[in-house]
Amino acid sequence: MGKRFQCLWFITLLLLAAACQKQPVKIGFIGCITGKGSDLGLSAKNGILLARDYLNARKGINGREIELIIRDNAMDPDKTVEEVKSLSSQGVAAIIGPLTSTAAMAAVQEAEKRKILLMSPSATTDALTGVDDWFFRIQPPNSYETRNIAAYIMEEIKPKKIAAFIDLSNSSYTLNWYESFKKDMSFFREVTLIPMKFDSRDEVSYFSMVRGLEIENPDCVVLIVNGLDAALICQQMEKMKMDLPVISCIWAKTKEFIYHAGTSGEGVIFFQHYDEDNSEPSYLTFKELYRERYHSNPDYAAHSAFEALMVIHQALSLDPDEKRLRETIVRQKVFQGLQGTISFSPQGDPLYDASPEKKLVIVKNGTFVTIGALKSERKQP
Amino acid sequence: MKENSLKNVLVRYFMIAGLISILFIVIVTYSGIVTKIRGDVYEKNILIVNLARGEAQRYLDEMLAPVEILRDLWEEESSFSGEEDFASRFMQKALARDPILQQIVVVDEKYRVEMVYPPDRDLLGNDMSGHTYVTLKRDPSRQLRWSDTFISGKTGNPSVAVLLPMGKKTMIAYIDLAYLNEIVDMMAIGKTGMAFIIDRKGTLIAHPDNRMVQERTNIVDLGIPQPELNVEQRTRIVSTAEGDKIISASYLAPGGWTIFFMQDTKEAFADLYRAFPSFLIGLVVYTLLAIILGNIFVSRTVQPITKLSSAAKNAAKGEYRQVQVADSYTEIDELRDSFATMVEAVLSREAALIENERMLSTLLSNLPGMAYRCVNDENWTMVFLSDGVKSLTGYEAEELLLNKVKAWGDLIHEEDRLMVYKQIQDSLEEDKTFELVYRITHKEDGLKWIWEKGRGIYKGGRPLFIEGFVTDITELKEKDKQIQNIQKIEILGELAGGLAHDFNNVLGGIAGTLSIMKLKRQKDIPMEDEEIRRYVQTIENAIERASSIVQELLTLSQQKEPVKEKLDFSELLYNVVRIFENTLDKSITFKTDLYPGPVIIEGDKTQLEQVLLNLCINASHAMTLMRGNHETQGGTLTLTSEPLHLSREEAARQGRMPGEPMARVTVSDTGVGMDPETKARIFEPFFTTKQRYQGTGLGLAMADSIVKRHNGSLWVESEKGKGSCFTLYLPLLLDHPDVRTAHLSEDEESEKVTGHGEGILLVDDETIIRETLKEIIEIHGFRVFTASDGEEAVRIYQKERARISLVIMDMLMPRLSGEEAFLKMKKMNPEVKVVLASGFKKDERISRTLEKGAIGFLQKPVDLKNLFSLIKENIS
Repeated sequence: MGKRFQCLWFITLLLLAAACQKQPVKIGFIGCITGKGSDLGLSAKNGILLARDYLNARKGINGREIELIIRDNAMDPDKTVEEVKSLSSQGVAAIIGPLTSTAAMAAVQEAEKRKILLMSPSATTDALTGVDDWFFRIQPPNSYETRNIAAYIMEEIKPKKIAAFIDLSNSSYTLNWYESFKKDMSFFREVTLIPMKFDSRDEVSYFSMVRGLEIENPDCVVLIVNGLDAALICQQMEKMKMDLPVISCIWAKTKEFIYHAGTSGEGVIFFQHYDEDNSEPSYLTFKELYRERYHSNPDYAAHSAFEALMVIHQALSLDPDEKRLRETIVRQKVFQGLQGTISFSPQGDPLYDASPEKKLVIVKNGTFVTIGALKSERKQP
Repeated sequence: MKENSLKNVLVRYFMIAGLISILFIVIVTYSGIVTKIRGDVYEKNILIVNLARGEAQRYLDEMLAPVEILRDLWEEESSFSGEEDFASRFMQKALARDPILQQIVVVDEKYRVEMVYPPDRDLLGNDMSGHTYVTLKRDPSRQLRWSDTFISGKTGNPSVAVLLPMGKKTMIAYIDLAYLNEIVDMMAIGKTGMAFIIDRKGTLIAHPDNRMVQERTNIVDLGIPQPELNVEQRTRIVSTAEGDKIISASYLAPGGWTIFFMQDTKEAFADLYRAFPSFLIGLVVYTLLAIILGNIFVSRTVQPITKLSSAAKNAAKGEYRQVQVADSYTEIDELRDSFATMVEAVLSREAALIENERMLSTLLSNLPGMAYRCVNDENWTMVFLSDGVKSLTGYEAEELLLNKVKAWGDLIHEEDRLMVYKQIQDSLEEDKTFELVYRITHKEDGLKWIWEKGRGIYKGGRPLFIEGFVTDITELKEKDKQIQNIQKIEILGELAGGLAHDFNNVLGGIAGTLSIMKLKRQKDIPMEDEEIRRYVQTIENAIERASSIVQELLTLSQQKEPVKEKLDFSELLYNVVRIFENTLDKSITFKTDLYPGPVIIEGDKTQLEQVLLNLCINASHAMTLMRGNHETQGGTLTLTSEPLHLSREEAARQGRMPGEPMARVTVSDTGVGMDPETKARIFEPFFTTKQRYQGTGLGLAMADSIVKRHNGSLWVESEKGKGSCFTLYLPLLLDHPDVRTAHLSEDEESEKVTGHGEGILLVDDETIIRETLKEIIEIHGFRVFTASDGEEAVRIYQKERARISLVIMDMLMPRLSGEEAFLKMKKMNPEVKVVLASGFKKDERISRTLEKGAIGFLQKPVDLKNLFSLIKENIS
């Protein structure tokens, strides 16, 4: 009798233990991870997967495992909205993404409606800057980048005419970027901006596009396109012996650009908010783990995606109530990132120092090389 | 049936043995099957994965064959001259035939696109140096090189670039890898069996779920570790988020890819899982069978043992019948025979035991007393009593056993209970035999003296029981008393001469003084007051001396039981010396070395004086009477005393603790001494070496007995012709008030007492005493009524009751004793104050009268201090 009772007791305890096992925290991810233009999404996906395994190996969120639900939006705004709905109904605590501004613009309203936090690693449109919504992001908005690029152009090139290639496949981003750039350049009345729009989803002849550029005869070229298109434009320019300074938006700063541009990419200038040669131990660990797992260096999308999950992890560790996640982030304001702290405004925009250490990157010998601050801010020898 | 019966145990062992065997067989068989099935599954999966690899390899080879031909053509033609040349036509055909071949590019030594087919203006002339696979160190051999896989910008499918070196130039063929999906689809087996291919970075390039390929999923993200490169083939079980999987891998050399075949272990080892319940059922069936058969076999096997066990039970109950167990197994038969032998042995031992018991019972019942066993508790609860109990106590054994009617403790005289308890516990503590003499109350015959000897029975170091023997020594005690009396008479005889001489002197003194006074009176010779006072003082001194002698004689002639009291042994010794030195033969030199301070002991003064006088008389005899006629009479008698702590040797000799405080007295002489034989017998009663009528032979025996009753010891050392030395030890009392000091501190009370005519009735049959006391009391201001006997006393009291405040009455009087007179007076006045007086020490009658209400006792001759102290106490 006694032994039987002990057995029953033991089984009950086991069942109770199983019942008490902590449920995982579900986090959604939306990005373009298939087809042309998936390079950004695949990098972000790699970053977030690495972050998941890294954090789960360290007891997850207060002992609860992080479960990722990954969704491909194929850069389609409608599909993005559908995925927000679907992930919300699955009970995710937050969604990391969307990655592009067009998708983000489409998703914001649905997220607001469903009170689900969007934490985008890479969407930078200024249309969402300072808006009290449910959209938060890791990367600074376009205006931050365009302001610095405008300053660089005016300092280093002093052009009269600037041609800007604009890819309409991600119009929310590219057009916003262009508008912001245009606004920044409006301070210099003598400069003319020539927008050269195309949609990379269509059959595109880069030869023809660059031909058009030749006719316009600008003093420099600004690329508001993805990495592959940027590379192919550079190739055409080189073939046509158009030796013009090229400045590109951060979207094109991918390994695709390096692969496809070859020597034609040499000297292209980017501006990024983070430091690839940073020596913070957490960043070095991240970099090492990434290389070990994916056999390549992490890019800004992987980096930001990793940080996006870090922020959510820290906020939920402070207050496990998933419904108060947005409130917790706003209240906590400052979080640990890979290269220092990340601060958020109450509207969910990352706060950067008024005079940050600006990071100009140039392509040299087939790699991205950080050259530091603008000339005016560089230390004089 | 008991759980641990032999049958149960055998059944259990039978089952355990059976189960262990079957479990062993099951485990061995099952593991064999497991190994076999696992081997088969591994082999099958490796076969599948190798098939897939072969298919993939064939596909790639087939696809690359025309490209290699093209390279040869290109090298021969040196360049494409136009759409009409053979190489161009071949290329068109090759691309058209196999759409998987997406594009062919030739780059020059600077990695610029020299030729591209299908033609692409955008690409022609492009710099390809950004592609690391293109810029790899050019191999002089014509070995093909494979790029990392990538997603084609045009098709969105995974693609690879194959480089065909040709001198300084390189031909690059872009191959769509979508076809690999068809191969992995073909390899799908069952519900979970599937093949997939990864590139050298672990990225999926073919998978039944094409979405995963599109998403560039890395197998690490699926929880599958990356395989080691260049390992030909292997199979292992991996735990993934979807459960355990059996994974076989094979290396696809050209691109550094790996082909996997993965299957859920549940499906892969389904045969094994299916077989498991059969094994389990088999095991249960076997277990049930084992229980049933085991019961049957064991029941048969243990039947003879059961019978034997039944016979043993009967034997245990005392039924020693012949063991009737038929022949069965050799061991059981031997056991049966041994058991029968044992029964016989038990029977014979039982008979011997009965005989022993009978003998012991007879012996015990014939003993002059009883043997006992009791619990060591307050009541001495008896658990065994021999037959002698009835005559010893008047109670049947049943009445005393377990205190049913009376406890042994209640039989012990009230005054002796504490002593008995203390002495027994002391002995038990030291694990010693004890010997006791005490009184018990017989059911019918009143008090009885008994002697008891016993010893503790210990369990776990604690004395739980006491066993011993008790015998009635009342008669011996009576005889002892008689012997003591005889002794006293003997001593009196010895002392009489000296005493007569003393008395003569005293009386002579008184008579002389009186004669002088009478003579002076007759002759009218005037006497001065001073002269009269001197004569009276002489007479008083003589009377005091006489009174002292009488007191000592009275002490010696006491017939009362010894009464122990605190006393100063030094004082007692001085008394003895005073008495003894007057009677001593003149030929003897008497030396004393006595301790000057008080030596307090507890004892009976009279008896101890008797002991010391005995020893001194013996010593004096040894130097006078016992010497031969021709020997010189006399010698030296030395008496010493001192308090001390026992040395180790002394303690050992007496069975005491070293350091115990004792009083030691030695009486030594230089007399005839003793040989060892005599010395060994001197404490025996009626043993004497003196001539007839010189001694009874009781002196030393009695002395020894008295000393033992005082918890002391008496030792003798002697050498023939040189003398003897008797040493007496008595325990010292340490916590006592100083007895002698108390005596000395008494005041001269009589001087201070003055009456105011209060009436005192003085009753004594001795006229001199009565009249003398009357005068003395009256001098102190009291009115004294006198009576010469009890009757007169009662009469006077009846008449003068109102005026009589105190009655002083002798106890022994003619016609009506003091006790009777007191009772009559008390009847008249319950508040009557009567002080008793007697020349005897407090005896039973005096105690009784005191208990009934007499207020005090005066020892005669009357000490005036005591007298007036009593008067003051009761009248003022």
